[in-house]
Amino acid sequence: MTLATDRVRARPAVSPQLSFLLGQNAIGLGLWGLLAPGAVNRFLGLRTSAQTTRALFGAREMATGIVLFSDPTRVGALWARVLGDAFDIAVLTRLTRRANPQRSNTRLALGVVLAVTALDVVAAWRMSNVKRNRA
Amino acid sequence: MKAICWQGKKDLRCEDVPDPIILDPKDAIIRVTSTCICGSDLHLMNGFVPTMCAGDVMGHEPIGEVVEVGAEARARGLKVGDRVVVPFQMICGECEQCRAGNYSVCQTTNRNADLAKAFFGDTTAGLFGYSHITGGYAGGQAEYLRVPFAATTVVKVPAAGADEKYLFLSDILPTGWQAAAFADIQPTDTVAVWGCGPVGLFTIQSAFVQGAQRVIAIDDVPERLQMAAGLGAEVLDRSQAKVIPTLKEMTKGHGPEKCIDAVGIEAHGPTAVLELIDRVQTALKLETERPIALREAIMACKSAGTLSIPGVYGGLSNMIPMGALMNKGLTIRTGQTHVKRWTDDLLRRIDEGQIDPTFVVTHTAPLGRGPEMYRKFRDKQDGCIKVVLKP
Repeated sequence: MTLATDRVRARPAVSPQLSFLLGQNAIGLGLWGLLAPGAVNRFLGLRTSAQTTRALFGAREMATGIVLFSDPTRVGALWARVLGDAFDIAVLTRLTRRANPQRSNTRLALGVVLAVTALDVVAAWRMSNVKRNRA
Repeated sequence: MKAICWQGKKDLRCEDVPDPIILDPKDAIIRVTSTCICGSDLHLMNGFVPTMCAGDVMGHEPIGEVVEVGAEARARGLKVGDRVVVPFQMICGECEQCRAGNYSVCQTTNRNADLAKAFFGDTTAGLFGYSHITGGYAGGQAEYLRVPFAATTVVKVPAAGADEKYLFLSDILPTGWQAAAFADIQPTDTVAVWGCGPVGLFTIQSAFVQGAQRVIAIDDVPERLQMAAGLGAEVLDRSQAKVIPTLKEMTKGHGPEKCIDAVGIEAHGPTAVLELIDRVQTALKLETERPIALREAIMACKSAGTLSIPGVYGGLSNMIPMGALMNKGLTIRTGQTHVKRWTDDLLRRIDEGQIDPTFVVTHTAPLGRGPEMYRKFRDKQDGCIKVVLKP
C-alpha cells in the first residue's frame, strides 16, 4: 500500500526516533538484568552479587528505558545513559583481562556498548541542541 | 514558511517547510491569520495516533484569507480576499455521505482511503494535519495552507470581527454542538459532561442552548470547573469525590439521562492503580487508549439513556462494560464532527450574539512559540485552556 503524503513538510529529524529506539533497547536490557542477573554475571564472568547486577545494570537500564520510551525528548535521561555507558565500559574493560574465562563474551559486550555509547552521545547531543521555538 | 511540525513522540518543532502551491483546480491557498492548538493535537503529539510521519505539519483549526484560487474553486464562488474558516475536514459535497450530511466520512477526500479502510473498515474524510490515515495532508499551524476541495470545504465568514469570534467554527464549537445534539436533549434531562476542556465547555454551553434542565460538569482542574460553573453547570470535582456514586446521588439514584464523554483517549484516574493498568496495557500495545471517562459514562448513565462521545478514540479499548451498555439499553452516538452540518446555524447564532465562543481563549502567542504552548496546554500550566497562535 503506497501512502500519499504532502510536499509541505519538514525534513524528518533522526534524533527522536533514535532516542525512542534506545529507550526500547534499554527496556530489553533492563528486563534481562532484572529478571536474570545470574545469567548476566555468568555471561560476563562477573563475581558480583545478583542484587548488585540487578541494581547497577537492570534497574538503571529499565529506568532510562521507560523514561525515553514515554518521552524521547528527555535530554536528562539521554545524558544519564551516557554516564551509565561510561560505567559499563570501565567494568567491561576490567573484565577483558586474561584471568576472566568469559573474556571473549566481554569483548563482544564491550564492542556493543561502545557502539551504543556512540549512538547515545549522538542522540543526547542532538536532542540537547534542538531549537523548538522560533522567533 | 514557518510551520509547527511533528518529528516524533512529544517532539514538536517550529521549522521551515516549502510554501504550499495549487496542485489541483479545486484547491485554494489560505494565508492563515489565526490557528489553534486542539486537544486532539495532543493525542497526535503524544504518539497515540498511528501513521504520523516525522516532518508532518500539525494543525486543523485555522482561519485566514484566500490568497490564491484554483480555476474550479473560483468557478464555484471562492475568490481572493475572502475571509474563511477552514473546518478540520475537507469535503467534496457530492458523494453519498456528503449528500446525507455525514461530512466527516466523505468518501472522496481521503487520498489514503485504503489505509483507513484497513484500520476502520471504511474510509473517513481527509483531515488537515491529522496523520496519514486521514490523507496525510499538511495542517494549518503554518503561515499558509493549501485547502483541497476548497469551495465545498471552507466556511465564509464576515470580513469584520476578531478572528476568535469565528475561529472555533473550524472544529471545537461544532464539535460541542454536535455532542449535545447527538445526546437528543429533552427539557427534563440532566446531562453529565466528562471533561471541561474547550470541547467540554462548548458542549456544556450547547446543552443549555439546546434545552437541558441541568448540566453536571466533571473534571479535576479548578479553573476549568470554574469556567463550567460560569456557564451555569453544576460541578463535580473528581479529585474530591468519586464520580459514579456522586452522580447517582445528584440524580435520585439512577444517573443522568444523557452522558457525554468529551475526554477521549488520554483520560486519567479513577485511581492511580487503575490508571497504571491502562498505562501498562497501552505501553504493551494491548490497547491503544485509556477509555476511563467512557467506562464511567457507561456505568453512570441512567437506563435507556444516551451516551454521546465527541472525545477522540483511535484504536482499541479494553474493559469496556458491555454488559452495562447492553442491559441498560443505552444508545451510543459518536463520530468526528460533521462540521458543515452545523456551521450555518452556529454562524447565525454567533452573529446574533446568542453564542460568544471567545470565552475559552486563555492564551495567545506567535506561531513560533507553538511548541512551548503545546507543553503549556498539555500540562495545564498557567490556567491554560485554549491557545490561539498567530502566524
